[in-house]
Amino acid sequence: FSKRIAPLPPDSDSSMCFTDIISTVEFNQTGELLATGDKGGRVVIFQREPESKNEPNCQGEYNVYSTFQSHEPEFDYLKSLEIEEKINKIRWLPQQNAAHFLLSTNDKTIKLWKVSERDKRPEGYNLKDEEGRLKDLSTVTSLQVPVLKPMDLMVEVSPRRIFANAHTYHVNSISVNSDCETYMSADDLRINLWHLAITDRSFNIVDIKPANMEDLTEVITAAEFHPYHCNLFVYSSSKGTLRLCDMRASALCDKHSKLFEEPEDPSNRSFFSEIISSISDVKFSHSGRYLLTRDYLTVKVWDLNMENKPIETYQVHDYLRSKLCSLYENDCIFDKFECAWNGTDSVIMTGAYNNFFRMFDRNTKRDVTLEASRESSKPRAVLKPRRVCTGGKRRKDDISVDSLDFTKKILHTAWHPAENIIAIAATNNLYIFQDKVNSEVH
Amino acid sequence: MEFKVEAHRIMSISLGKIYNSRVQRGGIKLHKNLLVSLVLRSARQVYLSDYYQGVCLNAQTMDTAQPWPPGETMDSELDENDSREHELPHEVGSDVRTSTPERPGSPVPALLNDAVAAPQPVAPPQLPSRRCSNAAAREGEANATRECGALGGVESDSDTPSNPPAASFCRKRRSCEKMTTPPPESPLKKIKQQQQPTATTNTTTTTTTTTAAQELPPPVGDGEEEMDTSNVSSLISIFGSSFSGLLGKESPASEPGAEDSEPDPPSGQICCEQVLKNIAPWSTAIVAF
Repeated sequence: FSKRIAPLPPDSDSSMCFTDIISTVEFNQTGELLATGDKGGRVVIFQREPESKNEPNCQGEYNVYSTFQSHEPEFDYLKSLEIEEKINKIRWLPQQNAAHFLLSTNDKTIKLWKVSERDKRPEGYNLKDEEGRLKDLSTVTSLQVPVLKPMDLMVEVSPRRIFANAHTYHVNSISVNSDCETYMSADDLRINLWHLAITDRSFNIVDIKPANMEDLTEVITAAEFHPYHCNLFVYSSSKGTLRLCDMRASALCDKHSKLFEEPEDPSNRSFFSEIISSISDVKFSHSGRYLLTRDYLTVKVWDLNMENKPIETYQVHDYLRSKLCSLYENDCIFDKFECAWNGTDSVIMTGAYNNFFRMFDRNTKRDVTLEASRESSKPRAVLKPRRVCTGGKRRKDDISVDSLDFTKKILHTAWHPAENIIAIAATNNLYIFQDKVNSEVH
Repeated sequence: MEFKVEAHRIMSISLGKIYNSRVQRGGIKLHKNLLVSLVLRSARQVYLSDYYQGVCLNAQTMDTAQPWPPGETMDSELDENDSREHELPHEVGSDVRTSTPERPGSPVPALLNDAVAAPQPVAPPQLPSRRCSNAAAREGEANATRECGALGGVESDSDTPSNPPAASFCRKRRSCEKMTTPPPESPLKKIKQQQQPTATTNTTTTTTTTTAAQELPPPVGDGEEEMDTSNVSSLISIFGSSFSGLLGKESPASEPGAEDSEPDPPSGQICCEQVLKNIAPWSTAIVAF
């Protein structure tokens, strides 16, 4: 599958409209490529245009690089279950040669894709003409050596590995090890370790399935390898706990090396306490020293050296605490928000409702609420901070809690690994904001 | 009373969600169903402790309450026959009858038919266990449900403490159990072992549940109900005496005036045995998932 690259006109919106709901967003290690997966099983890769000297204001915009169908809907005949083609996660492999590799997964199957460019093609065949038709041999009077001639750039995507049939439950996470040879995939109850070159077997490293399913109390919600300690990984649970595991300790890492858990605040107890304490995402900091977790109402920063409580807790939208019953009714309470670090681990970001997303500066302790909308995404437009008024004095442009649109949720966000560029997925729109965002932090 | 209504509403919503998860594309989501079942259990505990509170008041007023056996043990001795997330969809079908009237009536009326056809012993309510921490429960669940009641848009009183007592009550019950988080029917099984007068309790419960059942649309036939009759008793016991009262009422033909009559005290032992008989097929189903 290949696609011709066509740069977007310079005055277009910095948002791109998808036909389907975006389900995952991920920058590669250099930030040059941005991959998105959607509910329809498609992957769209954007590439940052190198800054051209002709237009210094262009600042390297992201344009579509390639689009391909990663997963198709399947049917499990044994269980009479349909397997959704929705892409749950995409993870890039560190680049080792000219080609790029990424892993994409749906509920059951992980695939390794190779993304490569072709900008030359051989010309001057003896037996074929320009269109590939066989030449009449009688017309061939001399021999020539085919030569490579430049051609329009073509991006080719091909599936290199398919890692299937290893998960009984729904895969929620994949994470590439820093050794660049192995990766893990996590479902609700198990985590498997794979070698990137071997598809017919994987090793189970975590299994929390109880002998009696009726005793089930928690599930795995996310998992990630440490950024540079290839033996360490962390997984989060629906009970709000984090477990750090060391693969050197034993083959089966059911016993954690560290358990990160904050005692529950009894004054906040309600019917829905368990739901809102379930961790929806966990991310190591780039430094490898901290962990970032997201539960329904907060983001928390944990120090790997301190297990009994997080070192920082930020309220994302605490005004929803009194609305949990309504949010339970309309299923919003089950929304799984992701979280992200910036390149220097000084700012953390996460999404919210009404197409709002929040950033928290860990050093200044300031936070900002921004909105991803068509109006705010005009080129060179500066994002205006938003405020949700919770009953106190109401300023102009404030939004009241009751007028928040809960169908517009930002679940998936990504931060460029080095620069201040963020990718925000708002339902079926992708917004890419660059640079000036942080100057608006109040 | 509003606490009971709120808890009942949450239970209905939860059951509806579990039921809907059966037909969701992509299969049953384990995580979501686990969370919903936790909410369901919390709501149920509050709901049951609430009407127990009413029962106690009635009992004190009428002076007919029998002394409960002291030292109610919470340990679960029997294997759980409760089905977890995978089975809940099936069970929900039977319990939908207690949920909102708008629920599609297909599994419910079929279940009612089954109930009539195969009268089952009624599980006694878990009154003794409630009594152990009744004071805490009363205060706790009041707080809990007030917090819950605030969700409907009513401003929750900032001075109102959340339900830590209820939480500790719930947790205490759970911690007494062998399992970290016992399925809801474990305390029920314990209570089933004891013959308890259930007249007043069942009456109160039956009124509520029967009324709900009355509002349901007419039955559409047994064919739509996937469960077979023999599992009904296990489902009843799983979801507690709320439904057992209904079952007891169905045999002589249900009517809203159920509060006047009193069902026979259930035979706890028989119920247990029947429940045990049904463990195997459910376990198999769970493992298969």
